[in-house]
Amino acid sequence: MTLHISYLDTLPVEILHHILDNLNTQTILFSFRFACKRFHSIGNSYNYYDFNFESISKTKFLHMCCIIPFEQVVSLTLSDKDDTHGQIDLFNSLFNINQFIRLRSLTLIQIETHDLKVFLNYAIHSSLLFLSIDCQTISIDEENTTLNLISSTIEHCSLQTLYLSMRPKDMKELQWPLNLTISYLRIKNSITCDQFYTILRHSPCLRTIVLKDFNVDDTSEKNLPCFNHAPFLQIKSLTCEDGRIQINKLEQCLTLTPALVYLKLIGCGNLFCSTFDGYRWEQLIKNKLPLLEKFDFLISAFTHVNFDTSTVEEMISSFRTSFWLDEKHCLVTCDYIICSHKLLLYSLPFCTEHFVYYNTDTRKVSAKNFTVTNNYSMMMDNVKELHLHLTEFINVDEIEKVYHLLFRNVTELTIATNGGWPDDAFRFFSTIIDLSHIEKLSLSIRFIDEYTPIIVHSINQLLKCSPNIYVLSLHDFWSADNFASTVETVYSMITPNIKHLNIRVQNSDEVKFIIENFENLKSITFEYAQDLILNRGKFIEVFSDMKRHISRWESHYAFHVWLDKA
Amino acid sequence: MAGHKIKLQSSDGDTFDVEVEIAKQSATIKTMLEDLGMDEEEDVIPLPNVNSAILKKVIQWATHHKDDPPPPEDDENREKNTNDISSWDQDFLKVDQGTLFELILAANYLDIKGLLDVTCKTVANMIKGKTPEEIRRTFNIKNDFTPQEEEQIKKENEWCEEK
Repeated sequence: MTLHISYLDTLPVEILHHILDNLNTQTILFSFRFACKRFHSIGNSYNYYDFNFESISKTKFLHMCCIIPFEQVVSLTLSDKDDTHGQIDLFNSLFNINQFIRLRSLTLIQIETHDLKVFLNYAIHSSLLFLSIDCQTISIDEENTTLNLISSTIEHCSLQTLYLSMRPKDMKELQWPLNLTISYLRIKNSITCDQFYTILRHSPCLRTIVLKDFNVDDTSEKNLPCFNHAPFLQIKSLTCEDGRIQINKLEQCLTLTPALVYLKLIGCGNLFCSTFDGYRWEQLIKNKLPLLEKFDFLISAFTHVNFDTSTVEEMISSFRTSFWLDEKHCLVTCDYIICSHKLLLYSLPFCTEHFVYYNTDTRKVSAKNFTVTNNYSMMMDNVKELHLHLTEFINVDEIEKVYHLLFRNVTELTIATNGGWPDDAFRFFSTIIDLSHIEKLSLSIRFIDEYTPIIVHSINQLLKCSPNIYVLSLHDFWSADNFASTVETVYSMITPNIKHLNIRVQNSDEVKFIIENFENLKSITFEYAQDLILNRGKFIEVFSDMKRHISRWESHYAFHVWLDKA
Repeated sequence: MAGHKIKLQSSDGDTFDVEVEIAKQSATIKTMLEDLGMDEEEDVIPLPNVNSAILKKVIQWATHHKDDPPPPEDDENREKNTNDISSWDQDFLKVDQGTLFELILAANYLDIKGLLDVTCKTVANMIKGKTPEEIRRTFNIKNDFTPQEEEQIKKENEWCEEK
């Protein structure tokens, strides 16, 4: 049906701005703005631009840099990650960050110290509300000038949200200024109980804190005076993720935060220290966290090979008390994965973004503290990164009966096999996963001749039905006996949507072939096997002869290139 | 008081009995109730900018979302995520463009943040991934650029073909 009225064009400017708030900058600048003169003018006057350069080709980056409306940008993300390495330095060579006078949010990914100083000198006098600093891979200078600058920045800038990812040594030396304004703090590292206490004491507005864990190696804290301090009632939410969960240490620190309403724990537990014991957690919550409304957790541990699987049922029975079922309405599952000797205890809905799925479910022992739930379809909605372990045999008919789109929000999919490949692989993927959200596909597959045609066919189907996949990583792809066909096999699978490729190569000819023939790529990571004796000089020669302009850098057994257009 | 109702009158004269707590999702109505002290069941609140069909849809939306937590006040640092529209809202917004845009205007006039957000996100999703020409076709927008301006736009967009 042909429309006769343009409803969109008749909307008032403030509503069109509200719509633009939900679009990325590229869409606003290069699509919306060029639809008609009015939209062009509205796009030009829009002053909430969010420039995120986290994954962008060098050509596009340079072009966008030419048209950045400095005074209309409120959010800026720059990244020196492998696929855009050198970006921050390049940005600094083109701009004076002080031109961005309305910036409220600044994200700096894998930034190096000399660049960080430039941004901190800006941030200290800015109106930033959100600051994210990731300098995990480099060591901050010995004189601590950068650390002092970070301290000054968080002291003088009225930040509401702060993310810090630094090396543990630097984190330990960071001085926390008094009277911080932040309400949300995320620290990638472990911290000591004493640091935790200092942060709480200096942050009267802090509501939410996310950290790795409480440093288990710090033995000097058993009787710290901080535990006698009056509790900090401002803290409402605590998350510990990707660290070690020690119930005793946690119990000590939680005495400081009795007003928590939300607690989330993701990490490794210890079978011998009550971390899998529901009664113990029940006592801890009753004694220390009387206001707690929600407790999400995923605790894992590796067991010895002769683990008694009846323990799984025993563990879950400790979560069948009235406290868990009637008071907290907490659904808990315990899985024991027999092949990897891994024990997993978790609350549902699943609370973390990463999930490992074994299609060998028959080799898993499970117990739950509930029987049926009406909301099973949303139990895995938080899972963004799915790791699938495939074996040659999958009964997809059986799986279809139990699950339909179990994983509805996955953006990163990793598929691993031990050699075999199931005939029904694609049907299996599309049965349990909503393919439309996947952006990154990683394959840990050995391309054995016998299975290569069916693997390529399945991956082709997967890529065709997943239009948003733009990153393809091939881990363990190369093996000496089939290397000749490697590049051709990749070439037959890859779609124009793929912008970043991670692949293992053996020699400079392959590097040259990939750069010159895979025209749609923005960046490539070339891995080389540790046991190969490479003539690295030859690799570098290849890059200098290229028709495409590239930035390159080298890290552990890999070259990364950020490509300009051919 | 739970279950206490008020009457909302659409631009075309229809009245709807609505629970106060549901109606108060509209900041406009909430302010009217507070400022004018309208708490009698017989009081009628006129809504001259919303017709009957749209008001009915707005009430349906507000009834479904009556137990939602209040939306966050400060949106400055929120992520641009348009994939978080609930399946109920997605179904609710499977309507023709005329209705969708009237819902946006009603949500704006009635100041219902949740409804305005979700309708704007739906329109944003209709724009995402489209070229200027596709946007024009989707929303019936007239291309009023001169040929020279258009040529310039083409040049600017040439290198933009990649994702």
